[in-house]
Amino acid sequence: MPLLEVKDLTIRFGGLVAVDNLSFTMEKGQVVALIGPNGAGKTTVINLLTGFYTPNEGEVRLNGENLVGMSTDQVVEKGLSRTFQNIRLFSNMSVEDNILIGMQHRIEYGAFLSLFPNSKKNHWEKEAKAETLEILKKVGLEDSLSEKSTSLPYGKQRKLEIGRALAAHPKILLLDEPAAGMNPAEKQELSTFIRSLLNEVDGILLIEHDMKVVMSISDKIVVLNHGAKICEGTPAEVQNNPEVIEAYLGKKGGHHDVARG
Amino acid sequence: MKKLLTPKNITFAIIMVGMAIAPLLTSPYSLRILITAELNMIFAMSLNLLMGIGGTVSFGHAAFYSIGAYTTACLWYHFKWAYSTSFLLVILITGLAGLLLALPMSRITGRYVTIITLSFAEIVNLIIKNWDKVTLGQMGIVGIPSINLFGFKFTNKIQFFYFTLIFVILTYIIMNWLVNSKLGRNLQAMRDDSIAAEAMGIKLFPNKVIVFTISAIFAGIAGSLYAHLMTYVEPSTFNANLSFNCISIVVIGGLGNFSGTLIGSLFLSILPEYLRRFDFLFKYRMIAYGLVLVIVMWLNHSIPGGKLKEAVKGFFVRKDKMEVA
Ligand SMILES: Nc1ncnc2c1ncn2[C@@H]1O[C@H](COP(=O)(O)OP(=O)(O)O)[C@@H](O)[C@H]1O
Ligand SMILES: [Mg+2]
Repeated sequence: MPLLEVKDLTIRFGGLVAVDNLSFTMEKGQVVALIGPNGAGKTTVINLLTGFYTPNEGEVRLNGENLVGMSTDQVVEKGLSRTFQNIRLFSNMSVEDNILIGMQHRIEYGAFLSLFPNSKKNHWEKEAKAETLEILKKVGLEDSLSEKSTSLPYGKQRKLEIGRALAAHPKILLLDEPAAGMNPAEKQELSTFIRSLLNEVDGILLIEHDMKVVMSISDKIVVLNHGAKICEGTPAEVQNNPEVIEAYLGKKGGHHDVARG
Repeated sequence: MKKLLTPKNITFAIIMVGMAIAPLLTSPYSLRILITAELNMIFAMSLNLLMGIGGTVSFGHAAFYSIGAYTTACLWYHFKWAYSTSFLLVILITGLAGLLLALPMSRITGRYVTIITLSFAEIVNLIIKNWDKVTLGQMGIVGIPSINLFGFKFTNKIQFFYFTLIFVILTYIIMNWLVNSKLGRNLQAMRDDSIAAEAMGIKLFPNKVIVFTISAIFAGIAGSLYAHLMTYVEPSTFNANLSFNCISIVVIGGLGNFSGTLIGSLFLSILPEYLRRFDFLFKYRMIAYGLVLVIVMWLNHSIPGGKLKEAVKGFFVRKDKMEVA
């Protein structure tokens, strides 16, 4: 059984078919990349997988269990955790608090016990803060613990957002353009980092425009255009697919980075 | 221990020490103003929880204050209930009122929140004005005795002052426990970015309901103390001014800053007493409140960071039209 199975997934916004009959699978231990020109429907796929949107048709199966119809918080419980294309940190909260929010669904005391000191609350707060430090070490932010999240430089904000998603202990991590806005050296480092995250999670779904990043860390690439899958395969297969080259570069051909615009 | 000695907590401690010795130095008239300041502290801290931590600006917070005051007054008038027993019903009824106002909040944002909260307070006030059998309508309820605590009767304002001070301290401490807990963090996350909060598995609606309920309860506690302090309640006291005044205190003291709220309360409780002498200035108060309303509505979406661009965007774009990107 695949770790993740997306089957005939379709969503329409009015007349626009944003995701059109999309199917693909992810095996345990894989990085699967979702690529395609702007507006292809990549972010919409993440929104569908995580319960933000409900598909008109299709299924999302995590270890065989259909997630369609579940709310966002149920999906988090099941083990999908995401980042956003435009960084969405909790801007007035500290770096530490951002991570603590990531693991909030695993902190088992409720609203009532929040109102006064008690042993259950103390226990969970202590555990959570210790684990937060571990996660911050992983993403290289242990020195910024009490800084305001948005005072971090851009690259570190991206790392913090990934840390926050990891804090949920997901089975699958969904990353929406994590390398956007980074310089080549940062991208290189991020690629290695993302690949290393397979020690923490069962699988990674990566949306990324930078072909160097995608080609170097993906086990499988799914190419979308106008919401539909035009090709799927290993980096080598996808790179040489004429349809992909056409969708990306137009008939005239050009440079990889054209995909950005 | 180190975590207790924050600048905010030190400010709190200094104000409380000052308050504790104040009755020894002041006249009965000033003491009354200080008690009013105490009530404003509890009332405004409850609103700051909703605004600064919960990210919802309520323009009708006076509703909960008046429900607290009238619950106390009516229980005394009809059933001769003393403070120690009516206190529990105040918590129950204001809590339910908070829950009720929270119900539509899951569906609306921005300007609609302003309209709904304003209307809620107006409806509560109309009910108080017209439910003659229970509230005695426009006449109000007079002759409410001072606090009777399990048989111990407060005979002077100094006792009342210290009793209320205990509530101020408790409110401050509970707010801090709350803010530094899972609930408080989740609320702040929702305030900063509700979409990201949802993505991290936070259930928005139950949290909204909880923060409205807790906030309403503390406002109700302040209102019930008010009824005992004044010994009478009448509907006209609990008008929109009371809500705007409360917002002003929170904004002056800083959103999400509870020790700031204490300073704001002192400021806005003592200042009007001085302004009273300048009657012509007093008339312009409404203009000032109008400005506060506009500014706060405008900054609605930038709480408490003050990011102007987002505030403008938030004001002109309906939240539900923004995409999940
Ligand atoms: N909530 C929505 N309502 C209407 N249209 C949407 C919505 N979300 C996405 N779309 C549309 O779906 C298409 C795919 O968008 P998106 O998934 O963001 O593309 P990508 O991430 O591949 O750049 C776009 O045309 C976009 O405008
Ligand atoms: Mg996108």
